[in-house]
Amino acid sequence: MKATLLKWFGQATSNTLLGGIALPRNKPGLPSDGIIRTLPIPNVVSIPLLNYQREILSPLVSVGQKIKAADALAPGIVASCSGVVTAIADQVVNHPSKHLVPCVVITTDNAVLQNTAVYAEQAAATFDRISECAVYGLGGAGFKTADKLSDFLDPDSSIDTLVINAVECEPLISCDEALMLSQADDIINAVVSLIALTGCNRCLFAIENDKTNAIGLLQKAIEQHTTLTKLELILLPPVYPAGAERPLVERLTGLSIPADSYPGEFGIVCLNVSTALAVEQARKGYPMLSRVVTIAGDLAPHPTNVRVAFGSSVADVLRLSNNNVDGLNVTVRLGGPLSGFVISDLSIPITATTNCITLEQSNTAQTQQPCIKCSACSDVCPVGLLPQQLHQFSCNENTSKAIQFGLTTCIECGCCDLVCPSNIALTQSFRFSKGLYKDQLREDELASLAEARFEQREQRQTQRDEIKRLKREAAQSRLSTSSDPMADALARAKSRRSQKRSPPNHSDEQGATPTPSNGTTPPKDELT
Amino acid sequence: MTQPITLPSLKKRSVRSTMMHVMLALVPGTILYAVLIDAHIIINLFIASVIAMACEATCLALRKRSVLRGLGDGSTLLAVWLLVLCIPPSLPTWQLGIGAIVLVTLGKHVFGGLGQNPFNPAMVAYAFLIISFPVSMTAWNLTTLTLDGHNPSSSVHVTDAADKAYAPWDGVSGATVLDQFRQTKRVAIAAMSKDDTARAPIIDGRSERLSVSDIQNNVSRQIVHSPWSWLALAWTLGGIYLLTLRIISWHIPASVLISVSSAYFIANALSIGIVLPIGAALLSGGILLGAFFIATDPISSAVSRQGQLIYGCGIGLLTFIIREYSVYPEGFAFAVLLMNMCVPLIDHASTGKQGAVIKRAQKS
Repeated sequence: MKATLLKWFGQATSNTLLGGIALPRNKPGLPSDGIIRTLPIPNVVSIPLLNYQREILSPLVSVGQKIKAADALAPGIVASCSGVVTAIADQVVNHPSKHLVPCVVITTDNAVLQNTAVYAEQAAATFDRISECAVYGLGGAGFKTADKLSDFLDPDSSIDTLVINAVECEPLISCDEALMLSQADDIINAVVSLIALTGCNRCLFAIENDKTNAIGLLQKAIEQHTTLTKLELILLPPVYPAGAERPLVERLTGLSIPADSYPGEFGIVCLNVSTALAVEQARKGYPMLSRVVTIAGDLAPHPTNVRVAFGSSVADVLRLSNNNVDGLNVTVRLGGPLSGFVISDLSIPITATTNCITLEQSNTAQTQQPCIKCSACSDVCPVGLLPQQLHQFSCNENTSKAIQFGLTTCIECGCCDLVCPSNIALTQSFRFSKGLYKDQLREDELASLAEARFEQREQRQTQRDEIKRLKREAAQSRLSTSSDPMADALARAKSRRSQKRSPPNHSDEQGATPTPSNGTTPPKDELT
Repeated sequence: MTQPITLPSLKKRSVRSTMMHVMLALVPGTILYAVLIDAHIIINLFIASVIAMACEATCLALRKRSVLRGLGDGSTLLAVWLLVLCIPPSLPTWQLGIGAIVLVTLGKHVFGGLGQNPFNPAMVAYAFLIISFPVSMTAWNLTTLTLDGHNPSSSVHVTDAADKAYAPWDGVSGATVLDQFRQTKRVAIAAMSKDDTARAPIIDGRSERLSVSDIQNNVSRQIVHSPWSWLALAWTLGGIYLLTLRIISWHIPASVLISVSSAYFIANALSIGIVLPIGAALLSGGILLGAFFIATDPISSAVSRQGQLIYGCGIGLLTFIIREYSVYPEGFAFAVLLMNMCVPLIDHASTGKQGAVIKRAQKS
């Protein structure tokens, strides 16, 4: 009754998505044949020295060094192919900000994607192995899988649910679907070994109900495992952005996860279906050197799913997959048509988070009109934000207010852009505002560090003064207590002479020199 | 700057199409108004639109904005249309023109044009007109209005065209039924308090005492049987059209209508003064037009859905209070303007679902 009422009034029930847009699938330009071609490795690949927290790492290799596939280039980052490091140069990477990031440029000597195990097969994947094989989330955020799974391996953790996310809600992405169509058995095997590895109580395999072929294959694969009682196949109606982690977890479990915490803190670990497969591959000894990328869009000459070595540039991927766009009036978008962003530089390397390259019409700039607060955006927002308010705060650079209204929980799905009658680039303004907030946080952190340094310095100063004062007082008291200062001085000189004759006592001398109590802090700070 | 994402397959609504749909929903009611009440409204609508559009174009040009785009979004036309529906068709043209100019300038452009106005422009103009020209703004070309429920043809008011043809006058103007009800009520209350038959209300030449329930019943019957109730039906149909297209959400109309009804219900149940019965109260005046078309103006109303519920309830209650206890016959415009003032506070308080989660997290 309540559910019907809520549905009638357009509110979310526990199993329906809040907001979102139901989009037609099987659009022109969507490769849905389930065939994955493996592309040859281009002559040059470049691997960004960036971890998933977007921190720049220092390289472990030097220019001119010969490397093999799966060699570490930086902590947590491995080479996707063998070759020679020719440069470590700044390059634009897969991020809307167009920041330059140092990348290791490798001239490859073997055009075939490595297909042999590097490590020995393990009975059960270990934390170290997943880390060694550089397994990152292949869904969207590129989170380090070893870190996610470490919640399971922690004996104190109360994690009981593993969510396998096969909800590929973007209308033009089919890389996970292709994997499910071509490797359904492997996927279910991977899930079985993940259940064994994590020891979870239940495993929810979420998939959209319109991917009937994939569901059929998966069900057939599940039937072969008679003991697979923990696995539940959950069919969800296809609504964008049902596959985003937080809305999905909320939909499956009813838990809404705050912006500053992870599902792991609530007993849930969510893995993309292709990441699950990569974990299984890691157990068998194969490092993660490539991913499946969908090339789609109504202007793509040959929409297809291809397996691409990490570090291949977008231009190379398009060229090698017969989708050359040179000289065509085409907009290239990294990611799907909704959550992706337009790129102008095609030298951007493919990373774990690049799931799709969309080739679409260069749409003429639509004139942006003022917001009429029609609330269409807040009706579709899958995380229950008020984009129209956030937009106003973003325009006024009123970050604190925007945070109060939940800016950090925005998943940048682009639903609000899609429905806005005034053509306002809402998601873009939220990205900008989030950037401002991050800058502000960094400044705050620096300021508090500076404050801490200053306080430490003050403390040292007062301690030094205190020691000086004590010494002075001691000297004065010695002077005042003794009736004959001359005899005192002679006695001191005598004792010193006798000390000199005796073998030097190091600890005594140390104790004699006044040292600041926290002498471990280098005095460098005092310069500031 | 990344462009907003568009999918060719998804039909996207623009500001212009939103306004067009609202105007489309107003068409049946307006035609019914012209047929049943006064055809002069069409002329008024035309004149006011021309003046408002000219004024809008001037304002846009002065503010160095694209004139064509500003006129093309249809927001001014819609606001003027709503204003014309709220004012008596007999209003002198020059006063109507001033209203249209006030709507565009003081209602909209002084705040920065489309999307920036804190007040509903049509209601700003209405309030301006009713304060500036109280006589002509309350003089409606009336058809049948009596308070004792006797056959209208026996009263001085002229009803149909046949009577009009023989009558020495073109028409009779008077206060609306709400206004008359108020006047009678005042006299009746004075009479009842003194229990003096000599001071009983004199209605249509008769000096018989009318009880409270008599007056209520008579007025109610006349309101329900008057053309205005057909109009109310037309506005409701238009509102349902907008609701099904999801141009407006149910929150504001529902909260306005529920709060007005419950206010009248309580007042009737507790016999607080002489108030209209619920049915008559909803059908009379501009309640339904306002609930579906005026209060739902997205720009000046609250942003979040919870906020819209508060906003709508406020409008309903203030309408009841102003209508029943103030000197103005109709309170909807003032209720809307008063609640417009509260919108920043409501928006500040209602942060949406995610904001509520954050607030809770901060508290704990």
